[in-house]
This record gives sequence, structure tokens and C-alpha cells, in this order.
Amino acid sequence: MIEQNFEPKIVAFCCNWCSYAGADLAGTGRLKYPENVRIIRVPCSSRVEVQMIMRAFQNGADGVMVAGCHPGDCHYDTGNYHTRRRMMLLQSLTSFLGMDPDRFIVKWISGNEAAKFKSTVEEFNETLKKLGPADKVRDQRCGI
Amino acid sequence: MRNITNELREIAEDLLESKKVDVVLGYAKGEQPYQSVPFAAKKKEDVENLIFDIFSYSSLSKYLLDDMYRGKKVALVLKGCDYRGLKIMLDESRVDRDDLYLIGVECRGVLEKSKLKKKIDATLFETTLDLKEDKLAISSSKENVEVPYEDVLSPYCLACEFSTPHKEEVDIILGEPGKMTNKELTTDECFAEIGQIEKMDEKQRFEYWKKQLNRCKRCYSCRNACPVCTCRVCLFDRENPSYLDSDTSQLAQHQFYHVIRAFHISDRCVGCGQCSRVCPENIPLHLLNQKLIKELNKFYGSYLPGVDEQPAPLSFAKADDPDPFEKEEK
Repeated sequence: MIEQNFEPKIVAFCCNWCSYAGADLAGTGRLKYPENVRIIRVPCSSRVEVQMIMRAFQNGADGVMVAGCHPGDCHYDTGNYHTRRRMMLLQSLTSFLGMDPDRFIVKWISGNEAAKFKSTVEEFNETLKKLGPADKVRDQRCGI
Repeated sequence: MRNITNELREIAEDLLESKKVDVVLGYAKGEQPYQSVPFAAKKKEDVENLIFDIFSYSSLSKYLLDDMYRGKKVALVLKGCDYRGLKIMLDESRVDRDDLYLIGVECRGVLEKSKLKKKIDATLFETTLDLKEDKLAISSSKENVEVPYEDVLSPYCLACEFSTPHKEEVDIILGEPGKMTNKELTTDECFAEIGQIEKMDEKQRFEYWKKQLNRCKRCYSCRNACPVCTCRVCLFDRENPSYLDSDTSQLAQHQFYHVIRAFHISDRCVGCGQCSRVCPENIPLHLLNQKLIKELNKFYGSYLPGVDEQPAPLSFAKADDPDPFEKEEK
């Protein structure tokens, strides 16, 4: 059963140099995007470890987004290539375990792509609304 | 197999007598039938307990991280997969090669007790095993059966590509070179279950793993037995932030533990199968590891941890890697 008026919780790990700046620009540009996204600023998208993503799901997130610089634009040269390798592997493992691969997305958003940030979050929010709460991966004791 | 045991005892006695090493880490007969347990021979008298047989499962290299062995000269008995685990530890400078005396043994695979039990009516207590060319003769008071060796061999061994350490890498090799079995299987054939699970739809997959993972008692045997899982302070033992608690009724916590465990050893798994073998609940944990190996091989080319000299696939990344995330956007 999918609840009516279900508002998904999104955790977005945003890279300090591109995606966070993009989100910031969306804010200063007064672009409206769904407010149910919680942004966590990380120094680089490759800082995001598997346990952070899994823990977000456990503790209440319905969707997790990892956003980094476009490949080739990384502030640290190769950080997001590492992200790409690891996240690809994580996605195939979680879908092998029968978890929903659509609940976890990786996007490349640069500092001036405020509109892309907005549209990505909106799109993701819509997908999650259709999917409903992420009970499969939720720790039932956290009471959300 | 018998001659390896005898050779091993001779070597061990020699090493201990001449004070070349302080301790010889090997296997001894366990209390259960057909069980070999890790054994440390420190004196000349201990040497006669040393054995090597088709039940010598566990990798001994992890004991080297113990404070007890720090700064001591240790001789180590190594099968192919054990050597691969040790090689990773050597590459990461976790142990000093100068402190080690490596005794490589010709491995013909280890037996799977559950497979063996299916072949006989009598209990394991009553039977004796005799290994011939490629047949295993099992005899008890009731029956005498001869089964092909590969039928009772552990599935991980059937897919093994590196059964014995190389001559240059170890100090001595015991036994005579030979093929493991007549049957040669590819990894895909040995782990056919992966293909079956991949074919299921998402809901079935979830139900399958729910059934498996919910049995987990979080005893951490799989972590402790793994030859490449060697962090000094494990993420799961850390108190702040504490990632897991003692509650084992939550599927999410099992998923968390097993995803991270498999992921942390993804590009270093040597495929010894010890994680599944030690699991008291028989959870097919190796499937998770094999799935990751399969994916890594598919995307980044084949890589054998602990054998290949090139860097591990997750330790570097390239600009022209496949990008599944970018494609969605265009």
C-alpha cells in the first residue's frame, strides 16, 4: 500500500566543489525544489562510503543521492572516477540482494547547474513517491 | 597426502631444532572426525602432532597479526589460497617477509563434509578415508564405497586457479605437483546459483536473501575467518559511531553488515570459501563475494587478488571507465 501524500525523505551527499555549489546556486537563484531533501556536504563524492549510504537507508531515508563533479572536472582530479567504480559495484550488489536499485542514484552536477540540481531532485522525488516508503531496508526500531 | 605430513614433520623438526624459527604454524587432528585445527608447534615434541590433509581448511596467516607472534620467526604452512591471502598482507606491509619461513604445500583441494555425508550411510565417526589417484575410498564396517574425488570436493576448490604457491615465492614446497581433479570447471559453473538468483525478479531475490540473512546471528565468524579481512580496528567493533548493535531481529542490520562485509573485501577476495564454511547457519555468503568478483571482472578486466601484480581494481580508477550513471541523463 502506498500512502496518500507520502513525502519521501531524500539524503543527498553533495560534493563540496560542484554539486553543493550547484545546490547553493539553486538557493540563491530562488529556484524552488522539493524541501524533503537533506543535503550533506562532503569534501569529495569519493568521501561517501558504503556504510554512510546503508546507514542513511537504515535510519529513515527513502532515497539516497550521491552527487559529484562531472567526470573530468574533479577538484582532486580523479576523485569522482573512484566514486563511479565503487557506486557501480554497490548498485549491482544491492540489486542482487533484492533491494530497489532506483532508490539510490549517482548524478554529476557542476557548480553552475542549479537547474539540473532542481530537476534531478524533483525527478527523484517523483520516483520515490511512486515507490513508497523504503521499508525493505529500514531498521524498524527507528520509528519513522 | 600422507607423505606431505611426514615431510612436514621433518621440516618442522629441523627448523625448530636449528632455531631458525620460534614456532611452526600448521594443522593438527581435531577432536571431531575429519577435522583439522590450527596448531602451533613450539617444541620438538609438538612436531608429531602436525598434519596436513584434505580437511585443513583454515588460513593460518591471520594469526601473524596477533601480538603473540610479533617479532618472532614463524614458519607457516600454506595452500594456494592461503598464500594469496598472505600476499595481500605482505603487499600492505602488515607482516614482514623476513620473519617468515613459508612452507608451501601441494593442495588438491579440501573436502566438503556435507557432500561426503550424502555419499555414505554410516556416520563420519565410523569411516576411514583413503585418497587414491582421483578416487576417494570410504570404508566402514557396513560399506566400502569409492567416489570420484571431485564429487566431494569443496565447490570453491573446483574453481580454484591457483592451488599451490609458486616455487619462487615460498621457501620450500612439499608434495608432488599434480592436477587437482580431472574435472575442470569455470567459476560460472561452480557458482551457478548466482545466475539463478540474477534471473529472479526483484521481489523473489529479496525474499531469498531475507530468508538467508535473517538466520544470521552476527557471530562474526565470517569476518574472523576471512584471510583478507585484516583491519586492526574493524568498523563493526568501533564504538563511535557504532554502526551495529546486538539486536539481531532487524533485517536492515543484517543487510548492513553483509553488504559492507562483502564490499570491503570485494577486490581482495581470494575465493577460499571459508566464510560460508564457518557460518553456523549455512548462509551462502560466498555468493555475495562471487557476485562482486563477477561484476569487477566484467567491468574492469579479470584480476586475481594475491596473484596478479597489477593494482586492485578498486584502488585506482580511469577516465574511460564505463559510466552507467551518465547514460541515464542523456
